Amino acid sequence: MNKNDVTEFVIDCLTDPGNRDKQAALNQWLQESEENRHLYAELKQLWEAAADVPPVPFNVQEGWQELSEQIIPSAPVKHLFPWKIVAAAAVLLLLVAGGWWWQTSRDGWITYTTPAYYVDSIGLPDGSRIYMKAGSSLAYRKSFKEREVRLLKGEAYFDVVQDPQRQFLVIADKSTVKVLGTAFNVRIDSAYTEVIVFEGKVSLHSGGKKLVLNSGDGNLATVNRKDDEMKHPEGNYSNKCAWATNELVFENEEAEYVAKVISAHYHISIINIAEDLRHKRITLRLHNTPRDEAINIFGAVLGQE
Amino acid sequence: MTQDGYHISAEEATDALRGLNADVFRKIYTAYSEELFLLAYRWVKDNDLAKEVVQSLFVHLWEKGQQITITGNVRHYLYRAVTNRSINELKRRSRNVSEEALQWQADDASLHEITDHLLLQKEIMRLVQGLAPRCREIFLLSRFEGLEPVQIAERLGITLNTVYFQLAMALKYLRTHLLDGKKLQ
Repeated sequence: MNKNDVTEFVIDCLTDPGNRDKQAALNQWLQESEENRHLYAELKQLWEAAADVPPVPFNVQEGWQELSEQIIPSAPVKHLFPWKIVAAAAVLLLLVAGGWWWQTSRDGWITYTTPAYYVDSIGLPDGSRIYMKAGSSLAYRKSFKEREVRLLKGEAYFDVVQDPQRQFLVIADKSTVKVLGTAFNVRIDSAYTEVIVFEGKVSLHSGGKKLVLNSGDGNLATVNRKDDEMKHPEGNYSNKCAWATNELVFENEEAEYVAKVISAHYHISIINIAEDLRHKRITLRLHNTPRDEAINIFGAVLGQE
Repeated sequence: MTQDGYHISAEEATDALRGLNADVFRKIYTAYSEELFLLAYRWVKDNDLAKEVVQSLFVHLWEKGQQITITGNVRHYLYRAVTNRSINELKRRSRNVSEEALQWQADDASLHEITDHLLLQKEIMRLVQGLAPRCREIFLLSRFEGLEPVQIAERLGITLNTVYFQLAMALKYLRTHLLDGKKLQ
Protein backbone atom coordinates (compact mmCIF):
# COMPACT_ATOMS: atom_id res chain seq x y z
CA MET A 1 0.00 0.00 0.00
CA ASN A 2 1.27 3.47 -0.72
CA LYS A 3 0.80 6.34 1.73
CA ASN A 4 -2.56 7.49 0.41
CA ASP A 5 -3.96 3.98 0.37
CA VAL A 6 -2.85 3.52 3.96
CA THR A 7 -4.64 6.67 5.08
CA GLU A 8 -7.76 5.68 3.15
CA PHE A 9 -7.58 2.23 4.69
CA VAL A 10 -7.33 3.73 8.18
CA ILE A 11 -10.29 6.06 7.51
CA ASP A 12 -12.28 3.13 6.16
CA CYS A 13 -11.65 1.24 9.42
CA LEU A 14 -12.41 4.28 11.60
CA THR A 15 -15.72 4.97 9.88
CA ASP A 16 -16.83 1.36 9.91
CA PRO A 17 -15.94 0.00 13.35
CA GLY A 18 -18.61 -2.71 13.18
CA ASN A 19 -17.10 -4.45 10.16
CA ARG A 20 -15.14 -7.47 11.39
CA ASP A 21 -13.23 -8.11 8.18
CA LYS A 22 -11.91 -4.56 8.18
CA GLN A 23 -11.01 -4.67 11.88
CA ALA A 24 -9.19 -7.96 11.35
CA ALA A 25 -7.24 -6.50 8.45
CA LEU A 26 -6.48 -3.46 10.59
CA ASN A 27 -5.20 -5.59 13.47
CA GLN A 28 -2.99 -7.54 11.17
CA TRP A 29 -1.58 -4.36 9.69
CA LEU A 30 -0.96 -2.94 13.17
CA GLN A 31 0.93 -6.12 14.14
CA GLU A 32 3.29 -5.59 11.24
CA SER A 33 5.33 -2.74 12.65
CA GLU A 34 5.77 -0.12 15.32
CA GLU A 35 5.66 2.50 12.57
CA ASN A 36 2.18 1.38 11.56
CA ARG A 37 0.95 1.56 15.13
CA HIS A 38 2.36 5.05 15.50
CA LEU A 39 0.82 6.27 12.26
CA TYR A 40 -2.52 4.79 13.21
CA ALA A 41 -2.46 6.47 16.63
CA GLU A 42 -1.76 9.86 15.06
CA LEU A 43 -4.43 9.57 12.39
CA LYS A 44 -6.98 8.36 14.90
CA GLN A 45 -6.19 11.22 17.26
CA LEU A 46 -6.61 13.73 14.46
CA TRP A 47 -9.77 12.11 13.19
CA GLU A 48 -11.38 12.15 16.60
CA ALA A 49 -10.22 15.63 17.57
CA ALA A 50 -11.70 17.03 14.36
CA ALA A 51 -15.07 15.48 15.15
CA ASP A 52 -15.77 17.78 18.12
CA VAL A 53 -14.69 20.96 16.41
CA PRO A 54 -17.37 23.66 16.14
CA PRO A 55 -18.53 24.57 12.62
CA VAL A 56 -17.62 28.24 12.96
CA PRO A 57 -14.16 29.34 14.09
CA PHE A 58 -13.79 31.69 17.03
CA ASN A 59 -12.52 35.13 16.12
CA VAL A 60 -10.47 36.34 19.08
CA GLN A 61 -10.20 39.92 17.84
CA GLU A 62 -13.91 40.28 17.21
CA GLY A 63 -14.62 38.65 20.54
CA TRP A 64 -12.40 41.12 22.30
CA GLN A 65 -14.01 44.02 20.48
CA GLU A 66 -17.46 42.91 21.60
CA LEU A 67 -16.26 42.27 25.11
CA SER A 68 -14.61 45.66 25.47
CA GLU A 69 -17.84 47.31 24.40
CA GLN A 70 -19.76 45.25 26.89
CA ILE A 71 -17.65 45.79 29.98
CA ILE A 72 -17.72 49.56 29.63
CA PRO A 73 -20.87 51.70 29.57
CA SER A 74 -21.89 51.92 25.95
CA ALA A 75 -23.30 55.45 25.96
CA PRO A 76 -21.08 57.70 23.91
CA VAL A 77 -18.84 59.77 26.12
CA LYS A 78 -19.04 63.23 24.67
CA HIS A 79 -15.62 64.67 24.50
CA LEU A 80 -15.27 68.38 24.29
CA PHE A 81 -13.79 68.59 20.85
CA PRO A 82 -10.63 66.57 21.33
CA TRP A 83 -9.26 68.13 18.19
CA LYS A 84 -8.96 71.31 20.18
CA ILE A 85 -6.89 69.53 22.76
CA VAL A 86 -4.72 68.05 20.07
CA ALA A 87 -4.44 71.50 18.51
CA ALA A 88 -3.45 72.97 21.87
CA ALA A 89 -0.76 70.35 22.23
CA ALA A 90 0.40 71.18 18.73
CA VAL A 91 0.60 74.87 19.64
CA LEU A 92 2.77 74.02 22.61
CA LEU A 93 5.02 72.05 20.35
CA LEU A 94 5.14 74.97 17.96
CA LEU A 95 6.38 77.29 20.67
CA VAL A 96 9.27 74.95 21.11
CA ALA A 97 9.92 74.07 17.51
CA GLY A 98 9.48 77.51 16.05
CA GLY A 99 7.92 78.94 12.95
CA TRP A 100 9.58 76.74 10.39
CA TRP A 101 7.64 73.76 11.57
CA TRP A 102 4.45 75.78 11.35
CA GLN A 103 5.07 76.68 7.75
CA THR A 104 5.59 73.14 6.60
CA SER A 105 2.95 71.28 8.51
CA ARG A 106 0.24 73.65 9.60
CA ASP A 107 -2.30 71.64 7.72
CA GLY A 108 -1.05 68.28 8.86
CA TRP A 109 -3.19 65.26 9.53
CA ILE A 110 -4.77 64.84 12.90
CA THR A 111 -5.19 61.25 13.94
CA TYR A 112 -7.67 60.40 16.64
CA THR A 113 -7.91 56.96 18.22
CA THR A 114 -10.59 56.05 20.74
CA PRO A 115 -9.51 54.39 23.99
CA ALA A 116 -9.77 50.62 23.99
CA TYR A 117 -12.93 50.65 26.11
CA TYR A 118 -15.04 53.61 25.15
CA VAL A 119 -17.40 54.57 22.45
CA ASP A 120 -16.41 58.17 21.85
CA SER A 121 -17.56 61.03 19.70
CA ILE A 122 -15.71 63.91 18.17
CA GLY A 123 -16.95 67.13 16.64
CA LEU A 124 -15.46 68.24 13.35
CA PRO A 125 -14.76 71.87 12.42
CA ASP A 126 -17.75 71.89 10.02
CA GLY A 127 -20.16 70.89 12.80
CA SER A 128 -20.47 67.25 11.73
CA ARG A 129 -20.11 64.67 14.44
CA ILE A 130 -18.44 61.27 14.37
CA TYR A 131 -19.18 58.49 16.84
CA MET A 132 -16.39 55.97 17.10
CA LYS A 133 -16.43 52.49 18.55
CA ALA A 134 -13.77 51.47 21.04
CA GLY A 135 -10.35 51.02 19.50
CA SER A 136 -11.23 52.81 16.25
CA SER A 137 -8.98 55.28 14.56
CA LEU A 138 -9.44 58.04 12.00
CA ALA A 139 -7.59 61.01 10.56
CA TYR A 140 -8.43 64.34 8.94
CA ARG A 141 -6.63 67.51 7.94
CA LYS A 142 -6.51 70.12 10.64
CA SER A 143 -7.95 72.91 8.48
CA PHE A 144 -10.74 70.65 7.23
CA LYS A 145 -10.91 72.79 4.08
CA GLU A 146 -11.74 69.65 2.21
CA ARG A 147 -14.34 67.70 4.12
CA GLU A 148 -12.39 64.46 4.11
CA VAL A 149 -11.99 61.85 6.83
CA ARG A 150 -9.96 58.67 6.65
CA LEU A 151 -11.21 55.75 8.68
CA LEU A 152 -8.05 53.84 9.53
CA LYS A 153 -9.43 51.15 11.80
CA GLY A 154 -12.64 49.96 13.40
CA GLU A 155 -16.12 51.41 13.06
CA ALA A 156 -17.54 54.92 13.00
CA TYR A 157 -20.93 56.52 12.53
CA PHE A 158 -20.98 59.84 10.70
CA ASP A 159 -23.63 62.48 11.26
CA VAL A 160 -22.80 64.92 8.50
CA VAL A 161 -23.99 68.52 8.38
CA GLN A 162 -25.54 69.59 5.04
CA ASP A 163 -23.31 71.67 2.82
CA PRO A 164 -24.35 71.65 -0.84
CA GLN A 165 -21.09 73.37 -1.81
CA ARG A 166 -18.75 70.86 -0.28
CA GLN A 167 -19.17 67.13 -0.41
CA PHE A 168 -18.03 65.08 2.54
CA LEU A 169 -15.70 62.13 1.86
CA VAL A 170 -14.95 59.14 4.00
CA ILE A 171 -12.07 57.05 2.78
CA ALA A 172 -11.86 53.54 4.19
CA ASP A 173 -9.17 51.31 2.79
CA LYS A 174 -9.67 51.37 -0.99
CA SER A 175 -13.29 52.57 -0.79
CA THR A 176 -14.62 56.10 -0.75
CA VAL A 177 -18.04 57.20 0.50
CA LYS A 178 -19.27 60.53 -0.91
CA VAL A 179 -22.11 62.49 0.66
CA LEU A 180 -23.58 65.95 0.97
CA GLY A 181 -25.46 65.73 4.23
CA THR A 182 -26.62 62.50 5.77
CA ALA A 183 -25.89 59.92 8.45
CA PHE A 184 -24.15 56.62 7.86
CA ASN A 185 -21.95 53.98 9.43
CA VAL A 186 -18.61 52.72 8.10
CA ARG A 187 -16.77 49.72 9.46
CA ILE A 188 -13.50 48.07 8.45
CA ASP A 189 -12.54 44.62 9.55
CA SER A 190 -9.83 42.32 8.27
CA ALA A 191 -11.84 41.18 5.25
CA TYR A 192 -14.49 43.80 4.44
CA THR A 193 -15.34 47.45 4.38
CA GLU A 194 -19.01 47.89 5.23
CA VAL A 195 -21.25 50.93 4.76
CA ILE A 196 -24.77 51.37 6.13
CA VAL A 197 -26.88 54.44 5.40
CA PHE A 198 -29.07 55.54 8.28
CA GLU A 199 -30.47 58.71 6.76
CA GLY A 200 -30.36 60.24 3.27
CA LYS A 201 -28.11 58.72 0.64
CA VAL A 202 -24.44 58.25 -0.14
CA SER A 203 -22.45 57.04 -3.09
CA LEU A 204 -19.84 54.37 -2.55
CA HIS A 205 -16.82 54.17 -4.87
CA SER A 206 -14.44 51.26 -4.89
CA GLY A 207 -12.27 49.56 -7.48
CA GLY A 208 -13.68 51.71 -10.29
CA LYS A 209 -17.26 50.81 -9.41
CA LYS A 210 -19.92 53.05 -7.98
CA LEU A 211 -23.00 52.20 -5.96
CA VAL A 212 -25.65 54.59 -4.66
CA LEU A 213 -27.06 53.59 -1.30
CA ASN A 214 -30.31 54.95 0.11
CA SER A 215 -31.62 54.64 3.65
CA GLY A 216 -34.32 52.04 4.19
CA ASP A 217 -34.37 48.72 2.40
CA GLY A 218 -31.02 47.85 0.81
CA ASN A 219 -29.06 50.35 2.87
CA LEU A 220 -25.98 48.17 3.38
CA ALA A 221 -23.08 47.41 1.08
CA THR A 222 -19.83 45.57 1.66
CA VAL A 223 -16.60 45.71 -0.28
CA ASN A 224 -14.21 42.79 -0.14
CA ARG A 225 -10.82 44.27 0.73
CA LYS A 226 -8.96 41.68 -1.32
CA ASP A 227 -10.75 41.67 -4.66
CA ASP A 228 -12.97 44.79 -4.40
CA GLU A 229 -16.09 42.72 -4.89
CA MET A 230 -19.16 44.75 -3.88
CA LYS A 231 -22.20 43.19 -2.29
CA HIS A 232 -25.53 44.88 -1.83
CA PRO A 233 -27.93 42.60 0.04
CA GLU A 234 -31.63 43.23 0.60
CA GLY A 235 -32.98 44.34 3.95
CA ASN A 236 -32.79 47.29 6.27
CA TYR A 237 -29.70 47.29 8.46
CA SER A 238 -30.34 50.53 10.37
CA ASN A 239 -30.37 48.70 13.69
CA LYS A 240 -26.67 48.03 13.24
CA CYS A 241 -26.15 51.77 13.85
CA ALA A 242 -28.02 51.66 17.17
CA TRP A 243 -24.76 51.80 19.12
CA ALA A 244 -24.49 55.43 17.92
CA THR A 245 -28.08 56.44 17.20
CA ASN A 246 -29.77 54.73 20.17
CA GLU A 247 -32.60 53.94 17.84
CA LEU A 248 -34.00 50.47 17.21
CA VAL A 249 -36.81 49.94 14.74
CA PHE A 250 -38.52 46.64 14.03
CA GLU A 251 -41.18 46.23 11.42
CA ASN A 252 -43.09 43.00 11.35
CA GLU A 253 -40.18 41.02 12.83
CA GLU A 254 -40.32 37.76 14.78
CA ALA A 255 -40.35 38.33 18.54
CA GLU A 256 -37.43 35.96 19.04
CA TYR A 257 -35.25 38.02 16.72
CA VAL A 258 -36.37 41.30 18.29
CA ALA A 259 -35.48 39.95 21.75
CA LYS A 260 -32.02 39.01 20.54
CA VAL A 261 -31.28 42.43 19.07
CA ILE A 262 -32.63 44.30 22.11
CA SER A 263 -30.66 42.09 24.49
CA ALA A 264 -27.46 42.65 22.55
CA HIS A 265 -28.03 46.40 22.41
CA TYR A 266 -28.54 46.73 26.16
CA HIS A 267 -25.88 44.14 26.99
CA ILE A 268 -28.24 41.94 28.96
CA SER A 269 -28.74 38.21 28.82
CA ILE A 270 -31.35 37.17 26.27
CA ILE A 271 -34.90 38.11 27.26
CA ASN A 272 -37.02 35.01 27.76
CA ILE A 273 -40.13 34.69 25.63
CA ALA A 274 -42.99 32.27 26.11
CA GLU A 275 -42.79 29.41 23.61
CA ASP A 276 -46.04 30.28 21.82
CA LEU A 277 -45.03 33.92 21.30
CA ARG A 278 -41.59 33.34 19.80
CA HIS A 279 -42.68 33.57 16.21
CA LYS A 280 -45.23 36.31 16.70
CA ARG A 281 -44.48 39.24 14.41
CA ILE A 282 -44.27 42.63 16.04
CA THR A 283 -43.59 46.23 15.10
CA LEU A 284 -41.74 48.36 17.58
CA ARG A 285 -39.68 51.52 17.76
CA LEU A 286 -37.31 52.46 20.55
CA HIS A 287 -35.62 55.80 20.56
CA ASN A 288 -33.27 56.79 23.36
CA THR A 289 -35.21 54.42 25.58
CA PRO A 290 -33.66 53.42 28.91
CA ARG A 291 -33.10 49.69 29.33
CA ASP A 292 -35.87 48.81 31.79
CA GLU A 293 -38.41 50.84 29.90
CA ALA A 294 -37.38 49.15 26.65
CA ILE A 295 -37.91 45.73 28.20
CA ASN A 296 -41.35 46.80 29.47
CA ILE A 297 -42.38 48.17 26.09
CA PHE A 298 -41.24 44.99 24.40
CA GLY A 299 -43.23 42.93 26.90
CA ALA A 300 -46.34 45.06 26.39
CA VAL A 301 -46.17 44.92 22.59
CA LEU A 302 -45.65 41.19 22.75
CA GLY A 303 -48.56 40.83 25.14
CA GLN A 304 -46.74 38.86 27.78
CA GLU A 305 -46.23 39.73 31.41
CA MET B 1 5.49 41.09 33.44
CA THR B 2 5.87 38.87 30.43
CA GLN B 3 4.39 39.87 27.07
CA ASP B 4 2.82 36.50 26.45
CA GLY B 5 -0.61 35.98 28.00
CA TYR B 6 0.10 32.29 28.60
CA HIS B 7 2.74 33.12 31.18
CA ILE B 8 0.65 35.37 33.37
CA SER B 9 0.65 33.87 36.85
CA ALA B 10 -2.36 33.50 39.11
CA GLU B 11 -1.07 36.34 41.31
CA GLU B 12 -0.55 38.65 38.35
CA ALA B 13 -4.01 37.78 37.03
CA THR B 14 -5.63 38.43 40.41
CA ASP B 15 -3.82 41.77 40.73
CA ALA B 16 -4.93 42.72 37.24
CA LEU B 17 -8.58 42.05 38.07
CA ARG B 18 -8.36 43.97 41.34
CA GLY B 19 -6.69 46.91 39.67
CA LEU B 20 -8.83 46.76 36.50
CA ASN B 21 -5.64 46.43 34.48
CA ALA B 22 -7.08 46.25 31.00
CA ASP B 23 -3.79 45.42 29.36
CA VAL B 24 -3.25 42.24 31.31
CA PHE B 25 -6.94 41.40 31.05
CA ARG B 26 -6.72 41.67 27.28
CA LYS B 27 -3.66 39.42 27.19
CA ILE B 28 -5.46 36.78 29.20
CA TYR B 29 -8.43 36.99 26.88
CA THR B 30 -6.28 36.83 23.76
CA ALA B 31 -4.33 33.86 25.05
CA TYR B 32 -7.19 31.71 26.30
CA SER B 33 -10.53 32.73 24.78
CA GLU B 34 -10.33 30.36 21.80
CA GLU B 35 -9.47 27.33 23.92
CA LEU B 36 -12.25 28.25 26.31
CA PHE B 37 -14.67 28.54 23.40
CA LEU B 38 -13.69 25.06 22.21
CA LEU B 39 -14.12 23.70 25.72
CA ALA B 40 -17.51 25.37 26.14
CA TYR B 41 -18.53 24.01 22.74
CA ARG B 42 -17.55 20.54 23.85
CA TRP B 43 -20.10 20.77 26.64
CA VAL B 44 -22.92 22.80 25.11
CA LYS B 45 -22.63 21.75 21.42
CA ASP B 46 -23.97 25.11 20.34
CA ASN B 47 -21.83 27.73 18.67
CA ASP B 48 -23.65 30.83 19.90
CA LEU B 49 -24.14 29.54 23.40
CA ALA B 50 -20.47 28.54 23.66
CA LYS B 51 -19.44 32.02 22.69
CA GLU B 52 -21.89 33.54 25.14
CA VAL B 53 -20.49 31.40 27.94
CA VAL B 54 -16.95 32.60 27.25
CA GLN B 55 -17.94 36.25 26.94
CA SER B 56 -20.05 36.21 30.08
CA LEU B 57 -17.21 34.60 32.03
CA PHE B 58 -14.91 37.47 31.09
CA VAL B 59 -17.57 40.06 31.84
CA HIS B 60 -17.95 38.44 35.25
CA LEU B 61 -14.18 38.44 35.85
CA TRP B 62 -13.97 42.10 34.99
CA GLU B 63 -17.01 43.26 36.92
CA LYS B 64 -16.57 41.10 39.99
CA GLY B 65 -12.77 41.26 39.93
CA GLN B 66 -12.59 42.78 43.40
CA GLN B 67 -13.93 39.61 44.97
CA ILE B 68 -12.06 37.11 42.84
CA THR B 69 -8.84 35.35 43.74
CA ILE B 70 -7.35 33.16 41.08
CA THR B 71 -5.36 30.29 42.51
CA GLY B 72 -3.15 27.64 40.96
CA ASN B 73 -2.82 27.66 37.20
CA VAL B 74 -4.68 30.41 35.31
CA ARG B 75 -5.56 28.10 32.42
CA HIS B 76 -7.02 25.47 34.72
CA TYR B 77 -8.92 28.07 36.71
CA LEU B 78 -10.51 29.32 33.49
CA TYR B 79 -11.24 25.78 32.25
CA ARG B 80 -13.03 25.05 35.48
CA ALA B 81 -14.97 28.32 35.39
CA VAL B 82 -16.07 27.82 31.81
CA THR B 83 -17.12 24.23 32.51
CA ASN B 84 -19.19 25.28 35.53
CA ARG B 85 -20.81 28.03 33.50
CA SER B 86 -21.57 25.70 30.61
CA ILE B 87 -23.24 23.21 32.92
CA ASN B 88 -25.26 25.94 34.62
CA GLU B 89 -26.42 27.28 31.26
CA LEU B 90 -27.46 23.80 30.13
CA LYS B 91 -29.39 23.28 33.33
CA ARG B 92 -31.01 26.70 33.08
CA ARG B 93 -32.22 25.83 29.59
CA SER B 94 -33.29 22.37 30.76
CA ARG B 95 -30.94 20.80 28.26
CA ASN B 96 -29.18 17.54 28.80
CA VAL B 97 -25.87 17.68 30.68
CA SER B 98 -23.53 14.92 29.56
CA GLU B 99 -22.02 12.47 32.04
CA GLU B 100 -18.62 13.47 30.74
CA ALA B 101 -19.15 17.10 31.71
CA LEU B 102 -20.22 16.20 35.24
CA GLN B 103 -17.34 13.77 35.71
CA TRP B 104 -14.88 16.23 34.43
CA GLN B 105 -16.28 18.92 36.70
CA ALA B 106 -15.46 16.67 39.65
CA ASP B 107 -12.04 15.57 38.47
CA ASP B 108 -9.02 17.85 38.29
CA ALA B 109 -6.72 15.26 36.78
CA SER B 110 -8.27 15.47 33.33
CA LEU B 111 -7.10 19.08 33.00
CA HIS B 112 -3.79 18.35 31.34
CA GLU B 113 -5.22 15.83 28.98
CA ILE B 114 -7.87 18.23 27.78
CA THR B 115 -5.39 21.06 27.18
CA ASP B 116 -3.56 19.07 24.51
CA HIS B 117 -6.83 18.08 22.93
CA LEU B 118 -8.06 21.68 22.75
CA LEU B 119 -4.77 22.97 21.37
CA LEU B 120 -4.91 20.26 18.72
CA GLN B 121 -8.44 21.35 17.81
CA LYS B 122 -7.33 24.94 17.63
CA GLU B 123 -4.63 23.95 15.15
CA ILE B 124 -7.05 21.83 13.13
CA MET B 125 -9.48 24.73 12.82
CA ARG B 126 -6.67 26.94 11.57
CA LEU B 127 -5.26 24.38 9.15
CA VAL B 128 -8.61 23.38 7.67
CA GLN B 129 -8.71 26.84 6.08
CA GLY B 130 -5.69 25.85 4.00
CA LEU B 131 -7.25 22.76 2.41
CA ALA B 132 -8.33 22.85 -1.24
CA PRO B 133 -12.03 23.88 -1.39
CA ARG B 134 -13.43 20.49 -2.46
CA CYS B 135 -11.26 18.65 0.02
CA ARG B 136 -12.31 21.03 2.82
CA GLU B 137 -15.98 20.66 1.98
CA ILE B 138 -15.79 16.88 2.19
CA PHE B 139 -13.75 16.96 5.36
CA LEU B 140 -16.18 19.38 7.02
CA LEU B 141 -19.17 17.27 6.06
CA SER B 142 -17.50 14.23 7.53
CA ARG B 143 -16.06 15.68 10.70
CA PHE B 144 -18.16 18.71 11.66
CA GLU B 145 -21.49 17.47 10.41
CA GLY B 146 -20.79 13.85 11.20
CA LEU B 147 -21.90 12.43 7.84
CA GLU B 148 -20.81 8.92 6.87
CA PRO B 149 -18.69 8.61 3.70
CA VAL B 150 -21.65 7.04 1.88
CA GLN B 151 -23.90 9.97 2.78
CA ILE B 152 -21.29 12.45 1.58
CA ALA B 153 -20.97 10.62 -1.74
CA GLU B 154 -24.75 10.77 -2.17
CA ARG B 155 -25.09 14.38 -1.15
CA LEU B 156 -22.33 15.59 -3.48
CA GLY B 157 -23.04 13.11 -6.27
CA ILE B 158 -19.51 11.71 -6.29
CA THR B 159 -18.10 8.20 -5.90
CA LEU B 160 -17.32 6.69 -2.55
CA ASN B 161 -13.71 6.30 -3.66
CA THR B 162 -13.42 10.04 -4.21
CA VAL B 163 -14.72 10.68 -0.70
CA TYR B 164 -12.12 8.36 0.82
CA PHE B 165 -9.42 9.84 -1.35
CA GLN B 166 -10.26 13.43 -0.33
CA LEU B 167 -10.58 12.53 3.35
CA ALA B 168 -7.17 10.89 3.20
CA MET B 169 -5.75 13.99 1.51
CA ALA B 170 -7.18 16.14 4.29
CA LEU B 171 -5.80 13.99 7.07
CA LYS B 172 -2.40 13.82 5.50
CA TYR B 173 -2.34 17.57 5.04
CA LEU B 174 -3.28 18.15 8.66
CA ARG B 175 -0.77 15.63 9.91
CA THR B 176 2.09 17.12 7.87
CA HIS B 177 1.32 20.71 8.80
CA LEU B 178 0.40 20.23 12.42
CA LEU B 179 2.67 22.21 14.66
CA ASP B 180 4.93 22.76 11.67
CA GLY B 181 5.69 19.13 11.16
CA LYS B 182 6.37 18.29 14.78
CA LYS B 183 5.18 14.85 15.78
CA LEU B 184 1.95 14.67 17.69
CA GLN B 185 2.13 13.90 21.38
